[in-house]
Amino acid sequence: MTGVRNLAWLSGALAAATLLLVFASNPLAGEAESRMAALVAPVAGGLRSAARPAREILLNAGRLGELSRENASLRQDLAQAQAEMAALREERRADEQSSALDLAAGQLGARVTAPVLLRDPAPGRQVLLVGRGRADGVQVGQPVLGPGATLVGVVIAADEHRGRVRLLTDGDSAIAALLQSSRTQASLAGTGHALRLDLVPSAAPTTAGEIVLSSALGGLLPPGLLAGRVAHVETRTEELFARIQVEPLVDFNRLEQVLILTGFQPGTGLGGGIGGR
Amino acid sequence: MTLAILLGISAGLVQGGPLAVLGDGGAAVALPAALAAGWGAVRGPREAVALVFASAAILGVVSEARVGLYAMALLPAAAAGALAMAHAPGRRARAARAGLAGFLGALAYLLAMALAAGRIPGGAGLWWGFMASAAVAAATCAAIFPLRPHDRRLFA
Repeated sequence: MTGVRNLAWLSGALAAATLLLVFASNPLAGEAESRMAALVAPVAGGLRSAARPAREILLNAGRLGELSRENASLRQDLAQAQAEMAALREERRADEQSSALDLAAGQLGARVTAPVLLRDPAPGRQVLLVGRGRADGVQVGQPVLGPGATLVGVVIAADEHRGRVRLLTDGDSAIAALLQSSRTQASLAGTGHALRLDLVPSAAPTTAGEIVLSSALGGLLPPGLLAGRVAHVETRTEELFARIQVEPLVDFNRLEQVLILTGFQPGTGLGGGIGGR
Repeated sequence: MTLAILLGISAGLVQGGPLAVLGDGGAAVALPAALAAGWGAVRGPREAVALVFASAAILGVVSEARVGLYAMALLPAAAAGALAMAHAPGRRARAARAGLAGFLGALAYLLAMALAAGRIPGGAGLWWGFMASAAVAAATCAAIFPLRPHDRRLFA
């Protein structure tokens, strides 16, 4: 008898979950979720901040906190230096008033800093919830930068006061990219935990350590944003394209603040883009 | 029941906040699944389901994935927890079963969420996450064992 009652409970719960899922696309459900998020996000974000020391210990198991801070600081300095170096190389190529130079000069156009409230807890998703929304000029498609003006993701949704940012490492993320030295166009895709460069011909001269920049191809991103560094290149004679692993220049687990380029209008190219040009 | 709902809300907040930053969600302990398994092994599926829906409501609003999906992904943990209480075993046996239920619940949660996202997170961290979920489920079961419902029939 108890077994039957338990089964009935679980079946009812499954039916309720299915109904919730079916009605999830209803705008009213979206509105309700958005309102609830306004209540829940600050609490969960507060817990996240409170647990920061423990998180640092877990993320740096076996290492001292000071070493961890120093490492984070050095990484940030390195990313900054690489961003500047990338920008200078772009300038040398006489890519007239390239946007990368603008980045190094701090001329990013309209932008807002946004605190990272939460990381999406769903396994397999690399999405951040940030504390800026439409009221701050945030729109879907705008690029999001991390330490050292490094591209970390793109805004995928925005409500009044919060936005969702899909990180470059997300499996659904793919952006137009450019290898800085060879000027080879490619697609920088996320694998869920790392980055890979697709559509680079096997014959293209690509070496480990090469810088990967965002490309303006398609008008979805401003050009010249630092996106990563080639970590490993594997070419096979029987394959058209090389297998290229790219390492991110920032630790996506440690993002606390990000910069959203609110001056960039996706799809309009550089007209309303960086530097307001 | 109230306690289960409060626990579910707390589990959702912890999973969505501190635990989510330990890496991909799959590499961290699936706290709501573990608690649903441990709680369900002692208090039965009714309260475990309440815990699951409370957690799912919190996780769904902070995540790109929806509440219904979280509820579906967490329900196997509640079901496994309910199976663990079959024939009313003692504390140790029930805790061991709850541990297994927590492990399976966390695995089911990850698989359901990963299938919905279209990719399965990898890495050794996953197994640590499952093991930690099993430990949390067993510990929860052992801790609340005195709260198990007693049969109140006269000649039971």
